[in-house]
Amino acid sequence: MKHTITNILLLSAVAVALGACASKKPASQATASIEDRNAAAASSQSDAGKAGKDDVVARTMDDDGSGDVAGAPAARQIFFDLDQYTIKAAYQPVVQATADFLKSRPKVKLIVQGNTDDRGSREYNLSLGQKRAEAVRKALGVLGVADDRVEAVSFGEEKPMAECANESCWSKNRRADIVYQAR
Amino acid sequence: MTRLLRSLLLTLLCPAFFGAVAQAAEPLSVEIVGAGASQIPIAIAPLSSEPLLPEGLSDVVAADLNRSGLFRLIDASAISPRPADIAQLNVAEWRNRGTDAMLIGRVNPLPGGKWEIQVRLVDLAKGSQLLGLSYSIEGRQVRTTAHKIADAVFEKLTGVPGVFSTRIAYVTRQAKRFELLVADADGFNPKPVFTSAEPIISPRWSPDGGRLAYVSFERKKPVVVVQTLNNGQRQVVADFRGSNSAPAWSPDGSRLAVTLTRDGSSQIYLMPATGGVPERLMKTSPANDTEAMFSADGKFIFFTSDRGGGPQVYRIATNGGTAERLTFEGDYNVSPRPTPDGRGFVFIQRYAGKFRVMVQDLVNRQVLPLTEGPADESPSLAPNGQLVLFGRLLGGRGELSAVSIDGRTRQRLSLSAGDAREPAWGPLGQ
Repeated sequence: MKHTITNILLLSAVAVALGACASKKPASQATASIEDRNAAAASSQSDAGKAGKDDVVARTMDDDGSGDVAGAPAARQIFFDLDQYTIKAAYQPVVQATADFLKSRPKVKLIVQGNTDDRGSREYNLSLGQKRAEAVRKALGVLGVADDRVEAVSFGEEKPMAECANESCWSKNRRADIVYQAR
Repeated sequence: MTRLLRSLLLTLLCPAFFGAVAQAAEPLSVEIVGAGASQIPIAIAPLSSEPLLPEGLSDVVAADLNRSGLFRLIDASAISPRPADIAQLNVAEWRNRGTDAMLIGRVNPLPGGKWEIQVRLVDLAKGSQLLGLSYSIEGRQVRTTAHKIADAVFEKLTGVPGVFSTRIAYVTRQAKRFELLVADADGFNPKPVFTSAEPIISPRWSPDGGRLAYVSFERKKPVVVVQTLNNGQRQVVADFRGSNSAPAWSPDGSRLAVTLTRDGSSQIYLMPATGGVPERLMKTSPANDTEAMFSADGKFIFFTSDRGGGPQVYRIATNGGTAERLTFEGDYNVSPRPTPDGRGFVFIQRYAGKFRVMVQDLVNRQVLPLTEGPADESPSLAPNGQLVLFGRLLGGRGELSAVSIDGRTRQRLSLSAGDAREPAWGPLGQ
């Protein structure tokens, strides 16, 4: 995320510079691994738009796959009850929005990372986190997302959102995170 | 002995050592918080001419034996003159002080900065020698030699090999830095093996002690790495689609059992330890299986499965067959570790919301708690089967503890900074 923002800012600066030169050619400086991010970049980077609305195109570089994909739905977390692996109705819209986005962007893949609270065996918790990630992957499959576009992995208890010792806190760690990969 | 006092003592004894490791990692300190019922009274006399050595030897032997919980140390630090042979020892005097056995000996300087260490273990009831050992060593080998002497004394008097010369592996976390370390069994000499900004879990020693398998999250998901200790070479042996975890070595060191999720649920696979094609152990397993561990003879694989609803311990013949459920008390029994003698296994049980270390006898099915929790995890048996090293969470911070297999003796190994977890006890004879 941070890298993406940095990249956008850097490229925006390039765009500003190019715009000042009044070039009529689209910028082609951006290197090999690029994805056209016009719409998203324009909406989030007004500078780029101002500098060369008609003739300069700001592009953002693809990140390393662990970062963000512009335009992707903002809701990327699905929380689970204790010892539960079924997606609650409240989170069905998150799954639906994710599936819709994937259908509109055939190149985008994603990783679903399952997480648990920190009680019990680390290795067994990995398998429980995997069940949560698998539940999300299967739900996306039901909505028509191809199997090879979603990888379910687990962090078990190793990546807590919060370090805790009570239920209200533990519940934050029982979740699946959706991580988009532009690659 | 309090931690502070011990640290102070050790600091005084070996300032050079402490200076050398200060940047690498803090040593573990050990505190005994309980003691066994029947202890062998023993006196460890300072060796004749021992001050010639660059660091203390007899006190390391004494600390090792004391830490085992099986010995009661009779103070002989002030003995004068220091007996080098039985002829110089007042056997009756020490017998009258309630000592059964006594270690005495001498240090002889050798040419080239070397030393000869001679020790004798004396049976005070008979006034005869139980053990006589001689070592030719360099100055940097003093601690190693002390551990070897302690191992020999331990085995002579208990009939079980000592584990003072073995090593342990564990993981520390400081802020967002995870470090896999290897240290001597007494926590000294910690050396970083691998450092990462991502978590590291489940280190497991190869049977020859030359390699560590572990789970690293360095690829933004869990993968299984095998690292050779003498050259630091790392190989990612399992990075299949999904999660890769829970490595376990076959007793001959040729194969690894791993948990993969390439087929959807967590399943146990066997694969060459050098990487290669994994083969699923149970083709028709209905649920999640993980935490495989070979029995010492390699004939069985113990594992955790939720095929019966909650997680329970099972075992299956390594060649296949039908899995046998082993745990029936409670709804959460995980992390089985078969004992070296094949008689039972240690595991973690959730009981009244607390996670505690348990031991179960495979012959008579007796189940005993070794700890009370509340958050004990990742048990690892000493290679002589006498102690269980485990991680415990206390106030959000991890520390390492050890408990004897009868539950009577406890020790705490705590880092002065950071957070230690995921201990793994290395094999004998490294």
